[in-house]
Parts: sequence; C-alpha cells; structure tokens
Amino acid sequence: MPDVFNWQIGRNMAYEYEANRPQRQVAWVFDTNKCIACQTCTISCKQTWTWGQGQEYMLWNNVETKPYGFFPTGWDVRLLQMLGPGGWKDGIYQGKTVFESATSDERVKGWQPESEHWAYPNVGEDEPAGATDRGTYVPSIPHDVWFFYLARICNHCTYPACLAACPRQAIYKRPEDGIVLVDQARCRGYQECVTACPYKKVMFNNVSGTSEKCIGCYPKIEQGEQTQCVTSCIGRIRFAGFISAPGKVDEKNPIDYLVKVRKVALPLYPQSGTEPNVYYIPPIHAPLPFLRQMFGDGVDAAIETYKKTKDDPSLLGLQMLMGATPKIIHQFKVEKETAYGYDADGKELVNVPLREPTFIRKYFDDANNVYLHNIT
Amino acid sequence: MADRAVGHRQPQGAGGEPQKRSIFNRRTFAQAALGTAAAAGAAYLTGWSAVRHAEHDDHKDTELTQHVVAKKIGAAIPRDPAAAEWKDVAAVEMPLMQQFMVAPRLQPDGLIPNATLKVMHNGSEIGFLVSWGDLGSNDLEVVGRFRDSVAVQLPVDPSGQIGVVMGQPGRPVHILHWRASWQRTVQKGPRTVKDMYPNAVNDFPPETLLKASPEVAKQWYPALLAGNSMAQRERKSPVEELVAEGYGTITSHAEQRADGSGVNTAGRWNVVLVMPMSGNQQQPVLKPGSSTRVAIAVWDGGKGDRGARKQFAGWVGLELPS
Repeated sequence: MPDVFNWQIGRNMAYEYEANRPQRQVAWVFDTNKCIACQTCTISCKQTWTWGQGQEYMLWNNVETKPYGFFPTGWDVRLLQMLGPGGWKDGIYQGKTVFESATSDERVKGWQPESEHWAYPNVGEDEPAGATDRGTYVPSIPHDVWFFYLARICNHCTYPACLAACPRQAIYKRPEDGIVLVDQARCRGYQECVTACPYKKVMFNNVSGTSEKCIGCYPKIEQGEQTQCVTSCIGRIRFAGFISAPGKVDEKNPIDYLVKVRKVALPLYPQSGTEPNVYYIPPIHAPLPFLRQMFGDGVDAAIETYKKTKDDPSLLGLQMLMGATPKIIHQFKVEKETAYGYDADGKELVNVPLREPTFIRKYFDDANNVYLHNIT
Repeated sequence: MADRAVGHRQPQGAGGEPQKRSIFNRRTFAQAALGTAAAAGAAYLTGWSAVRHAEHDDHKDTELTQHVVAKKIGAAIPRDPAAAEWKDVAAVEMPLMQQFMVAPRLQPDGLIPNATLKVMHNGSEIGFLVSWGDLGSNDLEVVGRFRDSVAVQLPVDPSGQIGVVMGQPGRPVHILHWRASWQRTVQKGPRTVKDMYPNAVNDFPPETLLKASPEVAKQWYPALLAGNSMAQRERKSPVEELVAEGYGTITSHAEQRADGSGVNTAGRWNVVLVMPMSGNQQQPVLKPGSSTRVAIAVWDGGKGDRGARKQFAGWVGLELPS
C-alpha cells in the first residue's frame, strides 16, 4: 500500500491510494462550547437531502450527547476498542490507524452497524457522566458532572476510509473542493463503505439499494455559500470554508487561523488516520483525558487559548463572524472593535462589532410602580 | 439546488481521458482496460489456471478437466426449477471455494461445499439450473443485511484462456446474476421501508408532497435518476445481465434480456437463469454444436456475503449439442 503523510497524526501511514490532495479542501469548524443540541442543523439537513423513501433513518447531520450519546449506537467506543490503546508522543500518534490495523482480508478495519444501531439517534441524550448524591454545584472547570454536545457531519476526509474500502471505486473525492461522494450510478450496495467509515457517516438506502452520504451541500459550496447545517445553526457555532494544504497557512483564512495558527480547533478522533476535515473547538468543561482521546493531544493548549477569547480580538472577531453571513468567508480581519469577512474576491461580505453594546435599566420601574424581570 | 437533479456528478477531468488509479477517480468500464492492480490480479489468475491445466494442450475443450453437457429440448426453457423437464438433465457437481484473491476476502467459516449445475438449451435460449444448500433464505437487502444470490459466468469470446474471476482487461465475461431480493420484488412488488420495519411510516415522502411535479420529486432518488439497476422500483426479472473485465468492473448491460426464477425448498436454493443464445459483440453468441465454458458464484446473504465476499467454482467446459 502507498505511504502517505497525515499531518494530524504527525507521521506517514499506509493508505489504499497515493496521496493526492485536492486543489482546495472544504473544511468546517464547530465550536462545541456553543452547541445546545437544538438539532436545527439536523432538521435542515434532513429536510433538504434525506426525506425520501429508504432514507427514513438517515441523519447525515446529527448532534449527539457525549459521553453516552451515539449515532449509530456505540460508533466511537467501538472504533476506539478496535484500534486499541494508542497514545501520543510529541504530536505523533503511536497507535494504528483503521488502515494499518486491517487484516490482509480487508482494506479497512471497520464495524458493520445493524439496523437497530441506527434506530436511536437520541440515545444517551443529556446523560451526564459522574454522579452526585444530593445536588451539586460547579466550583471549577473541568466539571465533575458533565456532558457536552457533539454535532457531526461527514468529515470529507483527505484519506477517506469509505473510498478506500469500495471495491468498485464508486466513491471519489472531488479534485476541485475535496468533497467525497458516492457515485449513485456505480454503487452496487455492498455496504463496504458503511463498515469502513470510522465516523459512520455513510448510510445504506433501504429503497434504492445504494449507499448514500453527506454531499457537503456541494451545490451551495460551488456558489460560495456555506452548507445548510452551518447557515441554519441558530447558536452560530459553525464555519464552513477551505483549509490550506499541510505546510501552508493563510493567516487571513478563518479556518486556517483557528486550526493552524491558534490551534483551537482540532480533528475528531485523528487516530482513525483518515485526516477528517471537520475541526472542533473542544468543550472547556469536560475532563481532559476524555478530550485527549477524542481530539488528540492538542486539547490542553486549545482549551487554554480558547478560554482567553474574551481578551483576544482575532479569536473574538471570528466568534462574532460565525453565523454572520451565509457566504463562505475566505478572509477576515479585525480592526477597531469590528470584525470583517471577505469573499474569495476580497469583497466585504459582512462586518460585526466585537462586543454588542449593553444597556442596563433599573430593576424597578418608578413610572409604572413595578419590578422588571428583564433589565439588560 | 438544481444540481441535485444530476445526483452525484462527474468529477472534473473525467472527460474520457485515461486516468491514473487515484483518489479522485471512479472506475468506469473503459478504465478496466488500463493496467491496474485488478488487471495484474486477473493475469495472475489466468496463469494459475494455466498452471493447473499444464498437463493438457491449450485447446479450449481439453484444458478443462470437467464438462457439462447441455440438454437440447424442443420447447421453451422452463423457468420453474421444479419443472419436470429439469429432472432428467445430467447435473455436474461444482466444488465451491472462497474468494481469496482480492480484499475483501471471504472468511473460511460456514462455507457452502458445492453447487450443482444443469444446463438446457432449445437453440434460441439457454437455461442454467444452479442448486446449493443454504438453510436460511435471505431475500432482504437492507441496512446490515444481505441477500442470497447466484451468478453464472460465460466468456464473451469462448476461445483461449480467460481469468475465472470477473474476466480480465480486453477479455470480457458475461454474467447472469440472480438475487433473492430481486425475486422478492418480482413477486411482492417494489421494496419499501416496511420490508424491514413493518410498522414504519413515511407520511410525506417527496413523491407525495410534490405530487404535482413528479420530476422534481425524483431528485431525492439520485440512484434511480442515474439509471442504476440496483435502484429500479419495479422488476419483471430477478436476473440481471452484466459484463466485467476484471475486479471491480462489473457493469449492467444497457439491454436486459435475461429471465429466471429461484425457490428455496428444504434448505436448498434452486435457481433457474435463462438468456438468449444470440447476442451482440458484447454478449456471448452460443451456437448449437459449439462449446464454451461456464463458472458460477454463490453468495450466502445470511453470512454477510456480497460483492467480492463470495464463493465461486472455476471454469468447467460447456458443450451445446445441436
């Protein structure tokens, strides 16, 4: 098998095909700290793409509660169990990827979900880890009793496991934007991709008899628009854009800035080896050992940086630009308490203040002789 | 969002020019002719086959150690495997081996030891009756579940050596593929989510909500829109005609002529596959009085067999009396 470089695990690894990076790679940043699991993203995706017959159970976008929520059931604990203990040393993943742990009888180490595993998308919802006898309070960070929400879509991986597993080369990565698609004319429904995807984001259509997956809203991306799950997000936790190839950094590009410059956004289970392209700002209140397992060993630094966002104009500016425009922000700048977003041609798309002005009124309204509930 | 209509469209640079084996490429039938790993695998198999039969000369009829002689009849080929006409046709037993050449390979547990093959022709149609032991009948093709099926393979050009697993570049094989799931559709109508979840409800699928614009509603069925045979709603035949030139190249014929029927009785599948003996350049032309070769493959859906996870029996000679 060819030897390819995976920057997220800091080393070379075996992959089914030669490394061949797209001209540009679509990427997302999700801020887990701001997600409230309202599932607006899930529904907007569902209503746009997967309301046909055979797609009933499909959620190309889902939001699950961690640590006890999964869609499909147990997908990530099964992945971790399959890969075994790995660990990181100086930014290099010491364990095996899904490609390296495959036996000679398979292309990718995977797990085949059955229908019941897809039947409980809300399993574990709001289930906290930890317990308390008689109520608790939150004296410090991280919390003793905790959970957080993890919004998930296809990672449009640089080294997709689904693509490697397909014996028919019916899955391909678009050279123009790196979006990974299943060729619906060519797929014969073997479900090898479903088994192989470590994130379980390829799903079998029970009526068409073919496998389908998140298409990265490519009709929107082609027109410079961010994806449905991003533009519908009422918590404004998401960015969609493009990430530069390894070794290249564009400091004005919001995705590059968050992932590569400030390193506050991290890949999900980078140890899979697929080089996933959805990057997560980890939750500041969850225990670090759990987060290191989920996002790699950059978690500690990411959280420390993120906690100072309030006093960091660039990070704060990007937070304010999230969800501020349906268009893809290719470049941004922060100047005089205002953040600006620009399109690919340098045209201004949006500008937002770093801090919304706050007005506080008296809690007692003398004119009407009443107390006020809402004073800000 | 009009692009949805074309489903998952062509990647850039797929304008018919030769493509390297790459992450950006989808395999097309034409690409199979290129020097790929699949080609190397097929060449290996041909060599294997040649070594195996080294003691024979290279005449096509004598290199094969086993032969099946078709029975010539003067009537229509019966589609029913239980039909009396099949009873006195001589059967050849074909030992089945697990597909071990390319990943994903079949695990060596719970294998079906052999299948029997009977062949009948009437000068215009040829019928194959394949029979093998399979205690469970799996006719659903849904999430995490796979269907029983059987394939009969013939070389398009009967002369010379040809790889037994899916042919090889420049040497196509013609495949008849019967699926229990397609048989179910023929008998019970289009498949729905209720096949798997009898109590499921899909109250407003696109075709209901967009009744006035059925063409728009079709956009949510990209496989159907792309003409993928897997996605067909209605089926008249449980047998598909395909062509292949090596691993991963199997492609449905534009013209579908095959017919057949399968029945699972007493823990055994008996499946009849029938096709015309005439054909165009991409199909085998089977003349009474001539000979060719035939191979079979079976999939035990209950065990998770699909695609390359299958058992197959190597070529046997096929004689067609006039």
